[in-house]
Amino acid sequence: MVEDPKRVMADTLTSVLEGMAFTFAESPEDEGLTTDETEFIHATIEFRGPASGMLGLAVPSSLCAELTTGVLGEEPGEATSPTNLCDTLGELLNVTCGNFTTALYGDQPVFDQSIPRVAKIDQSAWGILRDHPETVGFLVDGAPLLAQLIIQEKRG
Amino acid sequence: MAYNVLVVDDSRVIRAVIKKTLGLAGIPINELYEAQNGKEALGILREKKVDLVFSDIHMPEMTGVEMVEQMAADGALKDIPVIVVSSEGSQTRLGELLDKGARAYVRKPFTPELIRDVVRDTMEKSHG
Repeated sequence: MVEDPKRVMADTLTSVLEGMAFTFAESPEDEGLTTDETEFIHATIEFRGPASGMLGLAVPSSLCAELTTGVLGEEPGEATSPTNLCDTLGELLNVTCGNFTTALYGDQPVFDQSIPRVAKIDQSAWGILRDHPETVGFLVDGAPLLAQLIIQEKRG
Repeated sequence: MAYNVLVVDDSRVIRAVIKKTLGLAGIPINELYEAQNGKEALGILREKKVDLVFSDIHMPEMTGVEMVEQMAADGALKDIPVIVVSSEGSQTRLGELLDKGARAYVRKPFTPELIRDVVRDTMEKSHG
């Protein structure tokens, strides 16, 4: 493995957001990940294969609604059910994970992915995720998105 | 010819996206059935006339791989083409899926053009 995993994850996530939700992720400027929102959605997925690890995504609920609108091709402002919000973030993470492992390790190794786990979190948990050393922050339509990557390489 | 299509995915959002993409791709649909996993899909396949199946791989209760295996072993279902729709990128695993009976593979994220080409190719081969 020669590429920087976080760079590969960032490129993969950007591409998935563009391809599925028709939106763009960019690097935030200072304080760009600070938000007044109080409700967030956090999704995690695990992968196992030549290497094991975890990917996570966290967004404010309002951004998740925008992403759902983009994925479903609905008009902005259309009512989005909470189930669809969680479903959308889980699926974006699922697709990012599948494309990430192939981008980093090539198209021969077999990886098993878990079913994404999705939960609502509060501002305190958001702050912990935001300040975690394995977190990469993005801005999507001016709203913050946090991506986490933890990899445990197998030895031998 | 309009097709009876079964979409198998545990994500309601992805089932809706596939349904919408089929429309954008100009694929004529007669009936569109939905299932949340392979087990539910097999139940529908045994009750309804289905021309084409789109299926995810990773699903709770019964995966897409297990569903394809059971369809291949069932004389009444083995000729129904299955197009796997997944984020899976391992050629090793995709080769196994095709060996087990899946007819084609579409990787997420996908476009209407890709879906249109794969459906046309799959249905042409299916009808000989």
